[in-house]
Amino acid sequence: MNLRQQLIQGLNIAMVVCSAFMFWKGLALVTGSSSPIVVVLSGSMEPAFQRGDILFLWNRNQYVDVGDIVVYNIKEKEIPIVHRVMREHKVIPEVKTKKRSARSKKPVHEPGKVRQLLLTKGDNNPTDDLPLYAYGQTYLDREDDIVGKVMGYIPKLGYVTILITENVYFKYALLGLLGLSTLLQKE
Amino acid sequence: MGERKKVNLSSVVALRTECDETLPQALASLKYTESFTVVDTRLALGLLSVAIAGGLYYYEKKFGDDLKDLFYYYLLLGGVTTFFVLNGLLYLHAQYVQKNTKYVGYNKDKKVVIGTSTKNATTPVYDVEFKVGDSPVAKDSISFSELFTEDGYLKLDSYIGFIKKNLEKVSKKST
Repeated sequence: MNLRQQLIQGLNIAMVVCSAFMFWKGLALVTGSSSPIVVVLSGSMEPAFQRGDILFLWNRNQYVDVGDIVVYNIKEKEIPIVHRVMREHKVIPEVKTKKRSARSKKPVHEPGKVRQLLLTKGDNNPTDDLPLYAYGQTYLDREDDIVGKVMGYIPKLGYVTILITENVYFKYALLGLLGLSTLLQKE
Repeated sequence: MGERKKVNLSSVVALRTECDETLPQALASLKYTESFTVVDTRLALGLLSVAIAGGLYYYEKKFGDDLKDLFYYYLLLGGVTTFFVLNGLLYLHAQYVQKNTKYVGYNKDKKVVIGTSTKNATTPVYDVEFKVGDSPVAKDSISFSELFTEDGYLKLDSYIGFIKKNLEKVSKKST
């Protein structure tokens, strides 16, 4: 065993991890979403989505529509939420000009940056999401809060991740099996 | 050199690996100096791509994962593209440059290239290709049962003998 052989072996292991990470980042770049695949954790969107469904997101549209199912993040809360858009408003910012034309009383509008504000609700929840938002927050901002719009899903496949995060015994059983298989595997 | 390790005689892969890993030792005893160009190229490409992935991971943890940050976006774009280009190069290198080459070395400016393979996981025959200088590639096969003892240790003398015999044969053909 020389140094080069050891380096090559280490490299092969590192490459598995790196490829997975870079594939994830590549997917993020293509979809425009920092987290392009998510697992549904709650039953708040039943019967559309169940716990454990895997969702595929797309975040390259300028606006989302009423009726779209989106994934959003709330500031200072870690877990993203999957809910449906109920209402939307587009806010056209006023340009602060000192000299406003005397004849026209209308405010002058900037043509560019239009913000879209959204209200969401879980299909299976009795009320909209206002109580879920951060303290004092009354809407979601399309650009700042939305992780992506749901474009497709695979039912139940993500339940493994729920089992791993929520069930300690499952986690240890899985780790034990992995350990056992490496022990029994022939080189 | 240290003691030889015991090999699982029923695994063709294990037998081949043991022979492959002993090639440098065998050829060193025949006064060949190993050249590491092929393996070093792979190491350089591989380490560079791992460094890129590691760098991106560090940047994400340190400065956040916000795709609206244009600098981060283009950094990511460049990094991911370079990573996959490097991996493509590694693949092409393995397919067209490395192939089954296990040893490259020199003896008095004569280049020797040795490639090894086995047909499948159930045929315990070691297929070896020898090329010395500009000679045509010579192929020879030997059963692993001739190279290993009954309790699973490589018979180094028989192995070196097999290589020596073939190298001498090929050397005569090369100009």
